[in-house]
Amino acid sequence: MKGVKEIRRRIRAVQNTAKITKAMQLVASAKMKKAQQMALCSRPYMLLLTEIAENVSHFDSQKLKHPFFERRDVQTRGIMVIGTDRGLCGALNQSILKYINATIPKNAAAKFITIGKKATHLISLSRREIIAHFNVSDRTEYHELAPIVEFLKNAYLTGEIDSLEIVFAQYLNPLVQEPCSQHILPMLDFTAELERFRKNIRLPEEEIVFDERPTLVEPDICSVIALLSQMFLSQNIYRVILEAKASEHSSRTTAMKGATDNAEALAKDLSLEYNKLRQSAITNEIIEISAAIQSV
Amino acid sequence: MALLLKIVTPTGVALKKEVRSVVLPALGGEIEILPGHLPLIAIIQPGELVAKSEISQEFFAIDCGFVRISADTVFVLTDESLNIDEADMDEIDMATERAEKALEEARSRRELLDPAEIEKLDAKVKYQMAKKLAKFQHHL
Repeated sequence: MKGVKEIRRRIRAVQNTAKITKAMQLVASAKMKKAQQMALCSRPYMLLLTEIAENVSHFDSQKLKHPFFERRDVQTRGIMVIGTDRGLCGALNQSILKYINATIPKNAAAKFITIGKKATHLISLSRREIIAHFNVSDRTEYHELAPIVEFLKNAYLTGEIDSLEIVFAQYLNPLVQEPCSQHILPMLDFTAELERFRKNIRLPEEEIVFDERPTLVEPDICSVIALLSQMFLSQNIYRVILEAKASEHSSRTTAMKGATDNAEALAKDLSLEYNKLRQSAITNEIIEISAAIQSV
Repeated sequence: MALLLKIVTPTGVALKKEVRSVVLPALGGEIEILPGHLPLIAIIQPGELVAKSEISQEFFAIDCGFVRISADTVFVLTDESLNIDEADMDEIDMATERAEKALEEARSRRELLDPAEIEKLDAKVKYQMAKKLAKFQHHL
């Protein structure tokens, strides 16, 4: 009878695991919806910011002297990697690492900034230089990014890094998240950026405001550019982080759904085995009883 | 002739409305925008925005950011905005206190935090004060 008891215990354990993974799946899918919602809500802001930047970029380029807008020789690439803080999210972090290994040779002059514990861990294991790592909460808020933006800005201005790219998992649909790299600094072509953005969110033609009169700038173009570049950087990072979060949560949802399904299948197999064993035990008992009756 | 006023924050479009004129806290001082204004891009500082329509006016406390005026649209780009009529005084009090405390703390640990960070906290306090002032003015 020992086998039966053991199986019963295993069934219970597997069922408990299924309950936990199911709960995690539900939590992750709720968080995913929230992150998507936030990404959606930040779109008008990003659009307006890009529009203003595009508007400003048409000014006399002599006055547009800001390090963020200038092309310079890239000696050290700055690469920000956005991973997750916790595991159990499928192959998300691994695929990001694979992407980095495939696109950035080990001996290239590149410095890494990581967000999320797993990203920090994986990048440091692969023996690459990390100059800073940050953590952000699950429901990332705009003001949480201030230290990150400040650090990146300083690193870029002091020449520690000469460009900035962000590697993160792009959210394609609930089942597919693909690692990709996005160029952030220097900011070069706002017109193309704006075009792409408008197309991306399918902005209706009539919502595009156009005024052919010359634009005034207050107080002066330099301070506008200084503030604009700063806000543009923060907003870009915010947008990417939200998208990475959406990817993380949807990846976790999928992973947990798989785990739940597996656990349920395992529980089913085990209960079949359990029933078989129980049946044979009962049959044995009956045989014993009838044998005893026969012998009396 | 009317202006389309839109206040956009990272968390969404806070207001989209047809108005007669808008008063904005620009960096150099308050400016009032009327229909037909030349295209303008201006920096705004934490303060009070007044949206005036024919019959009423609405007050908003806004954080620093930009305003873009183009073809009778006034788009305000700011980190935070708050409709004064919907604001809760106690909540503002608490937020102001929190912001001030954070600033104090930052000042006392100046060597750990860089000046830019402190500046940002300072802006936060100013925004909170603007909220409070705006509320105070219109309810007394």
